[in-house]
Amino acid sequence: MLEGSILYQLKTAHQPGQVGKRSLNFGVYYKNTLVALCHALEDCILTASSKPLVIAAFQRGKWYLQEADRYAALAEKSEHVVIMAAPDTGFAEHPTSQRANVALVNLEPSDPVAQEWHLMILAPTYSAMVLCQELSAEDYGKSGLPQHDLERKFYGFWTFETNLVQETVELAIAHIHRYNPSLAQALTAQMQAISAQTHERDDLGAVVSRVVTYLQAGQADLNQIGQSDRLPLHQDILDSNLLSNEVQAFLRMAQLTDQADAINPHAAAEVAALAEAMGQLLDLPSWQLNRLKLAGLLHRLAPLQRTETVLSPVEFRYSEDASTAPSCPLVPGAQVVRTMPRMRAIATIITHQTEHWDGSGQPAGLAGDDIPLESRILGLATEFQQRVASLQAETRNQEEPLTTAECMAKALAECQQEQSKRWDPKLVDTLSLLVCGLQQGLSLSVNLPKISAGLWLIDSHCGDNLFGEVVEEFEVRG
Amino acid sequence: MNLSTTIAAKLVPGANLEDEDLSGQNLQGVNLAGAKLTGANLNRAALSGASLEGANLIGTQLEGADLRASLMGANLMQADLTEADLRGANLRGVNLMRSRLSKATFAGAFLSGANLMGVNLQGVDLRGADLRGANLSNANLHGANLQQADLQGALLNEANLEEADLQGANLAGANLAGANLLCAELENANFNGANFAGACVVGTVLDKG
Repeated sequence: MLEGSILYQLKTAHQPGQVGKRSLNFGVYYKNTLVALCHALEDCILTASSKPLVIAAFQRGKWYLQEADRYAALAEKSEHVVIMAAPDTGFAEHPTSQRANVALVNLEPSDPVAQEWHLMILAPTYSAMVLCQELSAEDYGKSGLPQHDLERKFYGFWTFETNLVQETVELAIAHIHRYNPSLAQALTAQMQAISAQTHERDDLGAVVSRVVTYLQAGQADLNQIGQSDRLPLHQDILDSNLLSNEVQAFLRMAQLTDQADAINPHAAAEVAALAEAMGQLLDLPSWQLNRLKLAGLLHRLAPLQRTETVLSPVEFRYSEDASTAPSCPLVPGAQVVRTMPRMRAIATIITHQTEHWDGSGQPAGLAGDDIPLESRILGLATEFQQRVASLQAETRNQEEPLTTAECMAKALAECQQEQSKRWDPKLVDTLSLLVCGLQQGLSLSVNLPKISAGLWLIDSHCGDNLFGEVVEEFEVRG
Repeated sequence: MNLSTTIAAKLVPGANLEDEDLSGQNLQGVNLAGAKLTGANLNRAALSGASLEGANLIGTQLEGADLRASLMGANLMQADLTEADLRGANLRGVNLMRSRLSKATFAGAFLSGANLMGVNLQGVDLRGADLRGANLSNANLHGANLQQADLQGALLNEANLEEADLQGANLAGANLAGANLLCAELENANFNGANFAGACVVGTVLDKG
């Protein structure tokens, strides 16, 4: 990693042991992926409900010139756009560069930032960032430099986390200060004005849908490029990098829900571990455990979890035509997952996690074994994990806070009270068995999997249709 | 599924089941130690608790099979283990060269001393697997999940561990010469005495800039 680069500075600030800073983990991104990803995040500026500050690093002016026409439209919808690049011919002369709210920073070719690819978007209602550095010739190792421009390799990460975007924007402004102190000053003022505003975030689901859609279009384009180009293209590698980022988009969206929850910030990892352990006790096959794990990591995307007590079933139920198949309301978070057909089973599982065994639940009022098994397991694991977390939080400041074992016993007893009503009786027994094991020292590995390598979670069963053809119709309509 | 009596009679240690079609069969707990299953079709067969120790499984089709079994010393060269379930399986000393392992699950499997040279384990679940002294030279472990895996003394030279998750893994004394660890997750991993000569560690905790 190049010393003095923005990625390096951010990584250093997040070394293990730094108080209040989560250590960053990095992934690998091909240029092909970065183009699709950045286009999606940029295009969200066009529909955002507030104007962002945009700082982009393009390595060379010629790469910016390829995007300059698009950037005219983005500048229209932005407070300020800053382009950092080592200048090339025509760089400063392009009409976009001439706009009042577009500033160019001419990087010295020796500046480590000239080896980086950044996109920072910070608005009161929208934040996103891609932060990458290109591999050096030496880092490419024995495979050597790629022949194809689209196969140039970068490493870093991307995120929707507002505090991280802001922290990086500050680093970028400090870097800009060396070239243009007055611009840096103006940017600082803008950044402070943006962060002073407290608005609710724009719907992240729409952003994630766009990211996944653009990445899928990138997958479709690969075949064409492969056929029409003279240069050999490693389509399989580029394809799996795109696919991996589609999964990452969902995981990063779920990550935000956890981070915003001060009482229960580890819900995704813990529910996934609990659900998987229950599945193991039930001796489910490994493909089903995989699905359960991924659904556990994404279970908070379906917002019914939080709103069910507010909405009465009557006003929530959706039925467009009583004479046809039963229908169920849209669950927005699950609909986002449906953007990716390979995740269809996951979408179904999280959609129906709030059904009740006796048929009184939502969104479709399914009962008994009609509720997909994974949804039943996930619903129970989620409820149990939430109860344990809130019991721990409630009693934390008491004179004698409850131990984890006591919290688990209490949460389990509450679940047992609703056995055969809300919960599948067999599964409550399974949970009891698991809790018994946990109280006797069984430990679950609740490491959050590496987000940038989400591919291991997907297999051919994640795209299954859990209801067969008849209900499929209702799924589509629903 | 009921086994036909003719097949059931053949399921004995050392049996010759070459090219036999046993796909989808329930073979739980059978003892086929030392059996010859070259070219046999065992796709989606249930073999949990079975013994296939020392069996000849060269080129055997085992796609989606439940292999939570003992396969110690078996020869699985060129076998198709796509999406096979090998959780906790005893695979000590097996030969898996040129086998197909995409989306197979090896969580908690015992693979010490196994020959996995050059195999493709991209994105495979190897959580907590025992890989002590295994030969993974030139293997593709891109994005594999190796959390808490025991890789003591394993041969990982020239292996591709790009974006692999090695949180809490034990790499003590492992040979990682020339390996690609680009963006591998190494938090809480133990790499005492590991050899990283010529390895790429960019984007990991070992990358000091």
